[in-house]
Amino acid sequence: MIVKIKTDPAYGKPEVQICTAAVTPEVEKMAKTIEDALCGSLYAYKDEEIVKVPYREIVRIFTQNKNVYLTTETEQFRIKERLYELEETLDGSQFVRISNTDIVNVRKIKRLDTGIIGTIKMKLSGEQEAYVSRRYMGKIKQALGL
Amino acid sequence: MKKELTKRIIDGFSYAVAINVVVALICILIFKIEPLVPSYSAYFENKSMALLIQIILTGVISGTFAGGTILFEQAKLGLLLQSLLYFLLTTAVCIPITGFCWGLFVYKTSAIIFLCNYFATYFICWTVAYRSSVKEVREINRRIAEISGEESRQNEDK
Repeated sequence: MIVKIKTDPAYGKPEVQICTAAVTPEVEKMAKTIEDALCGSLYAYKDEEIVKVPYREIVRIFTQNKNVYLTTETEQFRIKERLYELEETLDGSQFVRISNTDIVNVRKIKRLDTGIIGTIKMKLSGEQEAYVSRRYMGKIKQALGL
Repeated sequence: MKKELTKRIIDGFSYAVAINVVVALICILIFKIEPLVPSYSAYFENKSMALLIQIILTGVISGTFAGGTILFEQAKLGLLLQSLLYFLLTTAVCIPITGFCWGLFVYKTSAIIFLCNYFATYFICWTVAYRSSVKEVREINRRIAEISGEESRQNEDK
């Protein structure tokens, strides 16, 4: 495999392209490895096992009974970081705080629903839901580019 | 949350006390008027004590209003329940203190006008907040739909 670096001022942000005759499992693995390396990840705990969860797979990070959990579309893990620490370290365009207890991945937001009594429920990927605090509506709009 | 609640109560209390001290000084030193309602000061032999208690009670009202805002961060409650609880809490504290310090219930007409204004203000605030919330949700949903459309087009191009 040849690795080339092409410089051109026309590229605003660096981008990685894979030139191939066909998409093989090896090519898919290569693309996933590059994406994982670039997008960052969190170390999480499933029972006693430590798992590396790429940011792009995270749906929601939330606190419950003083513990912090993260969910992907299919699984739930426990993490050691506190919510306020994550709010500071995570990319603001990728993750957004939606209430005192929840941070969500912007790409995993499906829609918002308003309840009769004024609750705002956020529907997320993987059939997950979270309540939105009106205090964070501005931040959500900002993260979505509004 | 306890820390945030305490901070808001202390902030609300302190600001109200500071503002009331300034207002009382302006009334006494500049306008040469007593910042106390006669029906209230009649409860006390010493006017300084009456003023001090009035300032503290004003701080209590303000601390309740400020601390109560924590209810609006309990997302699961929803705007209706948040507003209702906030209204009950602040009314329970504000009305008796107002009645005591400013003789609210001495004149029936003024009490009725005050209470009507108080309830109407709450109702208007709730309606405005609810409408603005629904509008924001619509805007966000429209934007999410746009983003999803853009992403599916990009995936098709790939």
